[in-house]
Amino acid sequence: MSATETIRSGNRVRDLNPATQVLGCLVLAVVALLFGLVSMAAVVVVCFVLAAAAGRFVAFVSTWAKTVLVLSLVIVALQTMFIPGEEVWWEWGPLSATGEGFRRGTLFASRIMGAATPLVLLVQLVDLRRLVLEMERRGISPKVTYVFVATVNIIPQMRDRMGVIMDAQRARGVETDANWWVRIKAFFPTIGPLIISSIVGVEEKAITLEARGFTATGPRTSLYSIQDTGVDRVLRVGAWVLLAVVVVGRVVLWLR
Amino acid sequence: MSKLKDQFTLMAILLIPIGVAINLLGGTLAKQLQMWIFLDSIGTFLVAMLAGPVIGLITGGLSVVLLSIQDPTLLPWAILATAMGLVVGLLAQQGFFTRWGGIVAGIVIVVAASVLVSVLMSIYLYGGFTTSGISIFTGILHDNMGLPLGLSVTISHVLGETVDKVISILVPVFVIRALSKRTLLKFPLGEIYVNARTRGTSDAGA
Repeated sequence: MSATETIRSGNRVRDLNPATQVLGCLVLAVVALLFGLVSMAAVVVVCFVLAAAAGRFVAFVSTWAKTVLVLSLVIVALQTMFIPGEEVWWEWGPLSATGEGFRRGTLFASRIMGAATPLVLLVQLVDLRRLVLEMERRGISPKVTYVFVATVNIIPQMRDRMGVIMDAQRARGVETDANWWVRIKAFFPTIGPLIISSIVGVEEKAITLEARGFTATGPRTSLYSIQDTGVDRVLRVGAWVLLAVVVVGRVVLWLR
Repeated sequence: MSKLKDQFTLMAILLIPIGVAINLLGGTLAKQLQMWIFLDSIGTFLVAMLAGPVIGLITGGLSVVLLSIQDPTLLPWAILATAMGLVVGLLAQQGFFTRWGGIVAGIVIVVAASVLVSVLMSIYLYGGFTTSGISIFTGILHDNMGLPLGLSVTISHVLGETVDKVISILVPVFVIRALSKRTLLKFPLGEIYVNARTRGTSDAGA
């Protein structure tokens, strides 16, 4: 193990074992869903605090506001406007805001917010390289982790190739920026060559991987290692206990 | 179970990242060219047609998981994407995408399945409205024309899904037609298309 290098960022929250981070965020999402608005608000606050502790507050808030917050607001607004009800707040042309719609909207929006906020946090905390290492350490097949990593790496490559194809097609006279119909027609000469060239390239990739022992069986070694500390274990046990407590608590509340 | 293992050849596994990338880029391109449909399942369909239902299912699911990194509110749509990969893969195994009649039938089945799943998800998870442009249409149908919510969501989804799925199926069909027999045969389902082509040479010249 001495020959391996541990990947560290220097931040204690981000340096937790990825398994701990994943479990923690999933438990938060479950807690948020089980007890309505109060638990949702509590979970969102916890996520903000954790993001700040991880030093990712700005990135977290900007992603959160652009996705979760926007969708929640849109859902509340559309439900308020379009769901008919007795309790009409005001009318504006064909639209009428109703109390029933507003309550229905906040119900759906709070579910989405409660489940999605911990996921935004998780994306900010987890480092892909560490997550993959941890997955392999826990015995997940390298084929699975390869698909994961290759996908993340291949997207920028293919985006570059798409740019090249678009330029080439423009050079030979395909218009890409005119009216709607012209743009639709430009879609096919761009996506077609992109797909065909990628598929033909698959064989080359297969040969390259075979030559490097990808399908070889037996134990593997990695240049990097990952730590699973006592703190991680304590936190994971704590997360499981919390999960058990809230699920049992919810069931008890239902039965009463 | 041996059938399941046959689908996981190295070539099929390597196809997954490409399928996911095509999904994401198709979606980006559709946005860039300001088309109002998603076109984000072309890769799933292509992979499902070449490598079968299980690989197709994984491609669909993984695409949505990756999209969710930027927008976690999309994560539930993974259910729809995996269902689509599965359905197209099963149809492909039966040789649906080798004849025009089969392709048309395939499109009808895929649209029906996708409308069913997406309507159920829209209603039960998001309450009928999402951030997509089609939600406004749902609202108008529901509020101004007095149609029940379930019906309004269904009508607006049928319109969006039909155009989207017709294109998303036809692009892979034409791509497969353009691939050489040599390339096709390397993928688990390639033989189906090669056989259809050999049969077709006598009358259609495909």
